[in-house]
Amino acid sequence: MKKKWPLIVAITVVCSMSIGWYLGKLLVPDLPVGTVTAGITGSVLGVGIVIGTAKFRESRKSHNVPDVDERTWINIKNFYAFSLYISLFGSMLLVIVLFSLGVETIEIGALSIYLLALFMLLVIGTLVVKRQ
Amino acid sequence: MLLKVRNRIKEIRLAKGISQIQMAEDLQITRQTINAVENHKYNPSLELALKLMKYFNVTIDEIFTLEED
Repeated sequence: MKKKWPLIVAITVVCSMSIGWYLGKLLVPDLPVGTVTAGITGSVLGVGIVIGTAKFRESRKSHNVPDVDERTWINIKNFYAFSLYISLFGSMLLVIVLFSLGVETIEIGALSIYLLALFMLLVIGTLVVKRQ
Repeated sequence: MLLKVRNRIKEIRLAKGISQIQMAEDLQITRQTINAVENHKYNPSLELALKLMKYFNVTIDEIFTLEED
């Protein structure tokens, strides 16, 4: 049964993506196919690189010491609790600064880049905390 | 009154001739956690404390003591 799991996950992902693609085409007639394809390819490549690196590191490990344990989880939880306040107060500060500079509207594109940067910082922070 | 948990894990481990890597493998914890516990920077959970007692075959008061800061 354990060997079948990757196949089940792969089928589920492909089916979900196909349904999503079909619904997307149905709901948005002028769907930018190239952008969506590039997005999906990028995501798949990114996940592939992460899984590949993890498997490679696992195969090179000479000892059976785990990467995470109870103290690591506590550290990660503390980091998320701390970063929640930092990101909230930081975002509020950014809004105040922008508003005081006379900016009253913001593009969704700019907002998505800001959120992407925030997520990247969170991921980098998590990796740093995990290693401590 | 501030109380601090002290442990003799490093002393017991060295007396038994066990390395940190060996202990990490046996208890399935990271080497950094062993370091933190041995240097009194992290107090292990009750589960890990019980695992340590069983691993070293000692009683709780042989490993952990409560001291005034």
